[in-house]
Amino acid sequence: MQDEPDRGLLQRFARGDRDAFEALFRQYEREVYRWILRIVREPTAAEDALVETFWRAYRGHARFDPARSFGAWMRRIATNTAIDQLNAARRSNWIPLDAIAVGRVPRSPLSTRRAPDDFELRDAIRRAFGALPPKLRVVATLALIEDVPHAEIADALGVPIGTVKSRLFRATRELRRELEIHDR
Amino acid sequence: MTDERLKELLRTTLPPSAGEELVRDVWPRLASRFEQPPGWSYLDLGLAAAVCVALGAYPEWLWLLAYHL
Repeated sequence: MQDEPDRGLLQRFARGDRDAFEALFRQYEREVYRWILRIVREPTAAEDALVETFWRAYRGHARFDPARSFGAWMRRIATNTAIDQLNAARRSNWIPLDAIAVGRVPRSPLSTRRAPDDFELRDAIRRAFGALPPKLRVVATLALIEDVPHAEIADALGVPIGTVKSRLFRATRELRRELEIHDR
Repeated sequence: MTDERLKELLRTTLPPSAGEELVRDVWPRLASRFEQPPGWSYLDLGLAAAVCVALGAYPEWLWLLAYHL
């Protein structure tokens, strides 16, 4: 997370100053976008959630305490917005997992691993993952795919670490149940 | 299936994000929200509907409502 903006800027934002809000937007838009993209995994959906996140932040400016971390506050709003978006997508049966192309694999040791060559298995993974309730899916995405530490996930969700572990356990159990029949 | 196997399957099928950058300036979209007039929320609509129903059932309450407006 980047350095915190100066206290004066945060105090002006908390009073509803739009110029201060724009300055904070310019400072944090990339970081918040990357965080949302890690959760929703589709650039257009992430842009929509980014706009909604900052709008919610502006509407909630009076609740922001300038003595606290702006970055952490934004990350929590972004996470809730992303969950709302996943819920909405789930209700409309639109799961943006198709957008996750193999070509976007980063240059890391993982990218040299052999992908499951069984199309059916890969399809089962996408479907099983997309079928997870958003609250479990977010934790599974961040913990299992993005390797985000549990404490950071807990902070972003505003829940205790124990809740993160419990959601991860439930997500893993559901995924395993769905995938075991394909992985024999 | 072990946790490691599950994690490997997930990460090979749904790869971690590669840190893609925002390609568009979305500030104009955000700024346009300031210009929009405040819309009706579900609470507003519910209250308006309740008042209409109440006035339909008890027209004499119109005076009470007018007094409070």
